[in-house]
Amino acid sequence: MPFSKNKARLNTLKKGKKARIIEVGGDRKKRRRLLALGFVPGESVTMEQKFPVLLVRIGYSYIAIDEDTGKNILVSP
Amino acid sequence: MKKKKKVVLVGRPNVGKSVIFNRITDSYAVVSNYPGTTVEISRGQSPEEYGGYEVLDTPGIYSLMPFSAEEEVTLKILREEEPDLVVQVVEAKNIERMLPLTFQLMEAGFPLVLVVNMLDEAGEEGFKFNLPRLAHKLGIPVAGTVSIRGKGIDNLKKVIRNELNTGKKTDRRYYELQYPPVLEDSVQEIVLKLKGSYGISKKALALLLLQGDTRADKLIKEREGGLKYQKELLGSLDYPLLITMARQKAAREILKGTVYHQGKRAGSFKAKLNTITMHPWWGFPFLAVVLYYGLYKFVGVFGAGTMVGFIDGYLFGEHIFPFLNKSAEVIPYPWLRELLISDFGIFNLVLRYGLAVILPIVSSFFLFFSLLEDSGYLPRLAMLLDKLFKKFGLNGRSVIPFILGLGCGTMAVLAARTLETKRERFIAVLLLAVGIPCSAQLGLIMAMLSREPGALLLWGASLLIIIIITGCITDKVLPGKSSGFYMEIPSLRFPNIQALLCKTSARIIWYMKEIIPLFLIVSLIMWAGSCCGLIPLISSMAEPVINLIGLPKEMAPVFILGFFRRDYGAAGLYDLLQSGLLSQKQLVVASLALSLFLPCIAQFAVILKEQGAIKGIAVLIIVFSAAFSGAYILNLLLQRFDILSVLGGI
Repeated sequence: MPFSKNKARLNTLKKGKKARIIEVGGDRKKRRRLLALGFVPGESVTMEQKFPVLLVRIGYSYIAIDEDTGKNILVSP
Repeated sequence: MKKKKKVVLVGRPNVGKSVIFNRITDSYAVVSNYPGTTVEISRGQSPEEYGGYEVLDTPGIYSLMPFSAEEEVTLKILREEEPDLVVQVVEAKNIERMLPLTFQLMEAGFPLVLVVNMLDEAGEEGFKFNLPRLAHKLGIPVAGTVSIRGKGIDNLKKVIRNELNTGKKTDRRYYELQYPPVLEDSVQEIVLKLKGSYGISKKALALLLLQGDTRADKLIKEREGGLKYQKELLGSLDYPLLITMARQKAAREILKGTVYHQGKRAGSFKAKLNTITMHPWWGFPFLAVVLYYGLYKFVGVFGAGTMVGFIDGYLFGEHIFPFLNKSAEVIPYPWLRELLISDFGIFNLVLRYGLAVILPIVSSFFLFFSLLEDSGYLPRLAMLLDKLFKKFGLNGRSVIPFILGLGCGTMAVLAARTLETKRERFIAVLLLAVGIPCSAQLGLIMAMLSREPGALLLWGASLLIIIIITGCITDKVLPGKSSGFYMEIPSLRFPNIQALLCKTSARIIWYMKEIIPLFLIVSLIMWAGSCCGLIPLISSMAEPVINLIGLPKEMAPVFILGFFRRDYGAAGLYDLLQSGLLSQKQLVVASLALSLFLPCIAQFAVILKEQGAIKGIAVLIIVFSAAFSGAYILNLLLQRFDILSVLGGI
């Protein structure tokens, strides 16, 4: 499934949309955590819910993160 | 005498480790805190026919770099306990995301068995596995299971037994993950310089070091006195990313030809339940229902009402107590008799309150809590409440200490250790002390106010508002900011009853062992205090303050009692109500003041220990102010506006 070349922050992804992770930012500790949770460049994520926190699906796991954390993840929708 | 072999279970949270633990051990597992921590570890024995080895269940981990105090314990166990076998449990449908940990464990040099669990759920999603092929590619034994149904467990037991018997000299070859050459070079440089032994392989240690793991760094400094590589190597490449991506790629490679997927997603009831509990709108009513049936009906009405009524009223009141009192009469020393059977005596305070009042309430609470945990509901709770907690500088991850606080505040303060920053720990402890009523108190107050649902609502709402206000103010005043929220949300699952009961009874036993002796000491102090008139003295000093909030002077001893034992305070309140000394309005104000009032002495002792003397006193002062201002305002409101009769009409 082709993804566009645009970059966007994960928290701006609309509900129900899919995107591919490009970059995972934030300080070292936060980054390692996100990587370990499955937010790895190349993986595709689906935005399942946006309120009260961001709920994304990666593969068959559901991960909840808050808006601020979501801002650090760059994706291409 | 052969040394017992040790098997350590690892894996992410919620993959079914505890169920597997329960299935491969016989019934006598011991759940205890790992030495020096508040983290619970289960140790059990496998049945003799299968080899009689020891099994350890560990807190869930995502990688060999720990993110929390609990994960650190797992790492500690792996490094220090020298396991003869490590059994990693993964969730079948998420296996691609869980294999990176498998690689790390293999790299670290642990003898490994992989358990692919929850095959049924994966099947429902359309997955098909070729496990023998996977085993061949990985170079380790792979067992497939559906732990809740017991499928595949016999096979797993055989596999474990075989692995333990073949010993370490196998010619099985582990899959060796190839990292990019640049990485391999850096790793080699470090490996050549390492001389000590670390419980994990040098390669694994080097990889951790390159990713900036502070623990690995500390370890190496201790054993080798620091290596000169650091400045040149660490600055240049994005090691965490490179390493993670290499592992992810390898996982995909391995799974090719061993896992097949025919995308099928059923809109089952389970799936709907999963969605509702997380739903931004439906999630909250669902939460309210859970709290209503769990806390109010089960802990409050059943635990504090029915069970206490039976054990205290019937068993103790009509049988055990009269018997004890009679037997005590034969004791020739009046002071001893006094100590045993008087109102402040040991029979009454420790035996009766400990076993007849506290035990049923706390047990029902722990059962409720363990159910919340094991069903997978807690992370959803954390998710829903994150925005609320952010208002006081915390985040959804604090949900656990707060819910525990509804069971026992002392335990909750200990659980707050798992929060990430000092700031969060302080705020959580403060709010717990200010307003979270423990189950003993909660149960009794609910039972008392249940006759007037309006009063109960008013009490609950006032409590909540004050906690929120205190939290917001504290957040604004304290420097620093909150940490981010992240949490994996597992599927809702029907909990395994055996594991549930095991966990609950372990917690009840812990509670009895830790808290009851404190109560014993407190009882002795109170007995001494009542003997020398200390209590009436403090009461008369407190009188003017109590009158300010519109309560009668008889409330003073109740507050003092409340400091030593929260439930005494509530019981004292009950007595006053019975003897007609409190109007309905006063009852609500008194309940509020009591709930807000100082934490019980056990909780306070733990707060002092955890936060230090200065912060502890600060907590005390804030709590005191909150308690009296809250009660004062409520009293004013009730006198001016007749809220109760309005609510009474509900």
